[in-house]
Amino acid sequence: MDILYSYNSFNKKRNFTILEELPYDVLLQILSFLNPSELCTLGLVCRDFKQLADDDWIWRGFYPILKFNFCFHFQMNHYPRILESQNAKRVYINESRLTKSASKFIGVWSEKWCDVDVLNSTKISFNGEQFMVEYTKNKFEAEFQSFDGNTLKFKLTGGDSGWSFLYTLSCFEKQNQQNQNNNIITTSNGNHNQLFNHHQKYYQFNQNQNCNNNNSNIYFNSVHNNHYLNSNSVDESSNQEEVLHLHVLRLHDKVEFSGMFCSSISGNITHPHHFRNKSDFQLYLMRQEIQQLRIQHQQQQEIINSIQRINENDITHQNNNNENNNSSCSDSRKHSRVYAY
Amino acid sequence: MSSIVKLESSDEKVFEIEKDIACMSVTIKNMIEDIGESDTPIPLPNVTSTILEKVLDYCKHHHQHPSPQADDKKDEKRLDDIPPYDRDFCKVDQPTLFELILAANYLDIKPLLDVTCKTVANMIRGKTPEEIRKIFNIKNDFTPEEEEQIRKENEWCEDKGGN
Repeated sequence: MDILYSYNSFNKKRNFTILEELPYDVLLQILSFLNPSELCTLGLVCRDFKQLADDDWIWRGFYPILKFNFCFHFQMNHYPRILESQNAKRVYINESRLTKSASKFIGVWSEKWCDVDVLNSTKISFNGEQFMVEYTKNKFEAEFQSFDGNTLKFKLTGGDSGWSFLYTLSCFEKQNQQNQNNNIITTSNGNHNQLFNHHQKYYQFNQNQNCNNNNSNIYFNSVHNNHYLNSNSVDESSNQEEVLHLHVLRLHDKVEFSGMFCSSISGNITHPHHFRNKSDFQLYLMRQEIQQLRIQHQQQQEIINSIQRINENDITHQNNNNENNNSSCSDSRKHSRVYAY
Repeated sequence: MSSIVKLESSDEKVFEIEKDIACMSVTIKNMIEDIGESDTPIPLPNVTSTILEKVLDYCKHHHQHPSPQADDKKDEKRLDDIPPYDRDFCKVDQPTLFELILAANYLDIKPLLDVTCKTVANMIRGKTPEEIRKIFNIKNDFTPEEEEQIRKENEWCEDKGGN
C-alpha cells in the first residue's frame, strides 16, 4: 500500500510535456477528434506525434467515411473491397485519392471537338474495380483502355466511317498551381462570365482548328487555363458545368484533335462533395435522416388522410343507408357529392 | 436517498459522496459491487485530492443536470458541442488538465474524458506545427530532410483542400 501511495509523490513537480504525461491510448483518444488534414499537420510536430498521428486505429476510424464517399460517388450499394486494417493511413490516402480522381470522370458527357458536337454521347461509370465506357451515338462501340489517376483512355471503333479513335480524357491539375490559385480567387465571383468567356474562346479555337488540324495543341494551350479554372471553381457552386480536356487520336491516319467533354448542362450530373471529417459526414447523415423522416411523415400523413377519407365515406355511406333506402345509383351520386365537400 | 461512499485520495484526504454520484465512475462502481458497501474509504492512489475534488464537482453538477442526449452523442466526434459548464470546467492550466484526463481515464468517467480530450483536441485544431510545439512545449526533433519528406507525404490532404 505504501508504495502505491508514494506513486504520486514524485509528481509534485510536473514539468512533463503532454506526450510524457498521458498514456498512449488516451493520446489516441484525443487525436480521434481530429480530421485527416489536422492529423497530417500534427505529424509535422515531432517524431512521437508523427507516430501517434499515423496510428492505424485512428485512420480506421475514417473508413466509414471513405466507404460512404465511395458509394456516394459511384452510386453503389456496398463497398467492393475489404479494407486492410494494417497501414490504415496509406489505405485511406490511396482509396480517397482513387475516389477523388475517378469521380471526376464519372457521368454522362457531351463531346465537342472539331466539328463534332454530340450531346450526351458518352457515359462513364466505375464499379470500384474498373471503368465502363458506353458510347451511345452513331453505332460506335467504346472500349475502356486505361486510367492512371489523371487521364482516362478509351477506344472507339465501328461507326459508319469505319474509323477508330483513341480518346484521352484528362482533368487539369497541379500545373502552375500557385499561379492558378491566384486566378481562382480573382474569378470566383464571376464564374458565369468565366464560363461564357471560356466557351467563346473554345469556339474561336474550333474555327481555327477547322483551318489547321495539325496545329491544335498550340491553340489549345490558351484555352487550357480557363478549363482549369472551371474544373476547379465547380466545387464551390454545384450548378457549374463540368469540363474535361479531350484529346482524340484518329488511328488510321494518326491525326490528332483536341476538344472537351462537358457534363450535361441540365445539372443532373454534379460532383457530390467529399467528406473530409467526421462532423461533416455526421451532419450529412443527419440531414438525410431528417429528409427521410420528412418523407415518412408525409407518407404517414397521406395514409392518415386517406383513412380519414375512407372513414368519412363510410359514415356518409351509413348515413345514406340510414336515411333512406334509395337505389344504389342515387346513393353513389349522393356519396360523391358529399365527398366533394 | 442513496447511501454515502467514502473515497480516499492519494494524499490521504477522505471525501464523502452519495453513492449514485460516485457510481458515475465505472471504476468506483465496479469496486463497490466487488467489495460491497462498507465504511472503509475506497483508496484512489492515482488521484490527488485537488483533482478528485474537481472531478467530484463535475460529477455532482452532471448528476444534478443530466444532459438528455448524453447517450446518443457517444460516438460523435464533434468538437464544438461542449456545454458551457464543461467549457469553464476545462479552463485550467495544462498540468491540471492532463491530470484531469488521467483521473477521468483511471476512474472511467466517459463524459469527463470526452470533454477533456475535446479540449486538448481544440488546442491542436487549426494550428501550424510550430504553434502546436509552442502550446505543448515540444521540441522539433526532425531533421530538415525528414520534415521535407513528411511535407511531401502530406501534400495529398492539401490538394483535397479545394473540395
